[in-house]
Amino acid sequence: MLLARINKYVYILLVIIIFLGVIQGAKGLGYWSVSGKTNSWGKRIELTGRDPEEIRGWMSLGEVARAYNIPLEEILAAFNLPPDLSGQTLLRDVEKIVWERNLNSNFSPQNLREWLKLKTRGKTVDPD
Amino acid sequence: MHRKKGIRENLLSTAWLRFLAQAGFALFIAFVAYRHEVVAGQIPTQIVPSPEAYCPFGGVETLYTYITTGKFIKRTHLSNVVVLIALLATTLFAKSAFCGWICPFGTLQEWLRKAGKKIGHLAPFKSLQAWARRRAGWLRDLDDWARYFKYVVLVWILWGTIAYGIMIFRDYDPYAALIRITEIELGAAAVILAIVLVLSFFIDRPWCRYACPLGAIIGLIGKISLVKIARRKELCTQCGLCNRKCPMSIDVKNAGIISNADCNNCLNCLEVCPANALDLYLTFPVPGPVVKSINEGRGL
Ligand code: SF4
Ligand code: SF4
Repeated sequence: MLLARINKYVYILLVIIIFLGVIQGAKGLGYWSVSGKTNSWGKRIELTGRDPEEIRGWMSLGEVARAYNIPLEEILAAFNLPPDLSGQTLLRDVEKIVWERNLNSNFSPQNLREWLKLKTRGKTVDPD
Repeated sequence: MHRKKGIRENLLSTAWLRFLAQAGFALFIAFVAYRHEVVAGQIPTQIVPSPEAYCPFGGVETLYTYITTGKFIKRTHLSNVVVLIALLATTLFAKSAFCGWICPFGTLQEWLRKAGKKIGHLAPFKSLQAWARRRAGWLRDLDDWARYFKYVVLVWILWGTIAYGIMIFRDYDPYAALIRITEIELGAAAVILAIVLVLSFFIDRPWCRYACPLGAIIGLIGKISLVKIARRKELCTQCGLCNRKCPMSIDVKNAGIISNADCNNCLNCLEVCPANALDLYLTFPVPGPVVKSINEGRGL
């Protein structure tokens, strides 16, 4: 049923306002996150050091070492990684390095999670 | 005869305003894509969102998982759900205005079509046009039927995403291939993208017309939108300009309330109508058959 005519400029303005308004409103309420790396407030997700399942490929070796209170050297040694590998190296890049340099290591974020699970239970195992 | 428009009229024309809106949203996505490629590559620890985070279809794909588990399927985020809600709100108000005014992929197809019209006089294209003219009836039937394909795509994606919990459409999604263009992966999505881009020179919005699953959702929900275009029969002179200017080949000159799911609310028909017979109306949201009977009753 036709109720009333709408001015086309009002219509155009309302289209833009509704679309952007909902997005801005959600952002204002903290209901917004554009990356798995941030929470809904836009803050970077930090490791808690309690559950290795929280580890993601975009995190660095150093972050994991700090959060789980394990020396970086121990992680590198456990996975047969070069001892000079920087703590800034992202986990997904470590996999690339292993592949490119043909290293004898089974490093992957998943294997690191498993290793940490056992380690935080108080057992140390050889990742191989 | 058409009177030449003044600068003020041109600047306030819906075509120009629409160009501004489309260009604005397209540039925003291009900027996000550029940052994601360049900045994220240079400073790996910095959080740079992917343009996929702003895609409302990601919201459709992740919605079921989000509602049932509170989590998101891979490569989707809360932003996808929010943009989807914004899109739904826009659609409930203004039908497919998202397609005509906001969607960057629709914009790209439209601009390619404009370029296609500019090169239409060249020899190979002329013979192609002559070929199409000879088969106009057959091609129109094909076009009518092919438009239902997008609903098949939608059902397939919804079923697959719920069943497997992954973005099954991503490997076939030409928009996803476009915003990741620098990665140059020759897969199904890249091939579909190439086909869509080439077809866009000859057909208005081929992806929107035939295959866009988001367009399918918008078209269906838009049936109950608050604002619709309607034609006043008593003013209409049946000149047919609206039909000629409609990028979605909708029969505007014989319509009452335009509730066609393929209309993208570009407002071309409204702008071109010399008799001011077309206008935007606030309507009471009623389903299609009721609209039809109202149209008939009012002589629209
Ligand atoms: S352009 Fe206007 S007058 Fe002409 S056919 Fe369309 S609605 Fe009627
Ligand atoms: S009916 Fe009018 S608003 Fe809808 S697509 Fe055609 S020209 Fe655009």
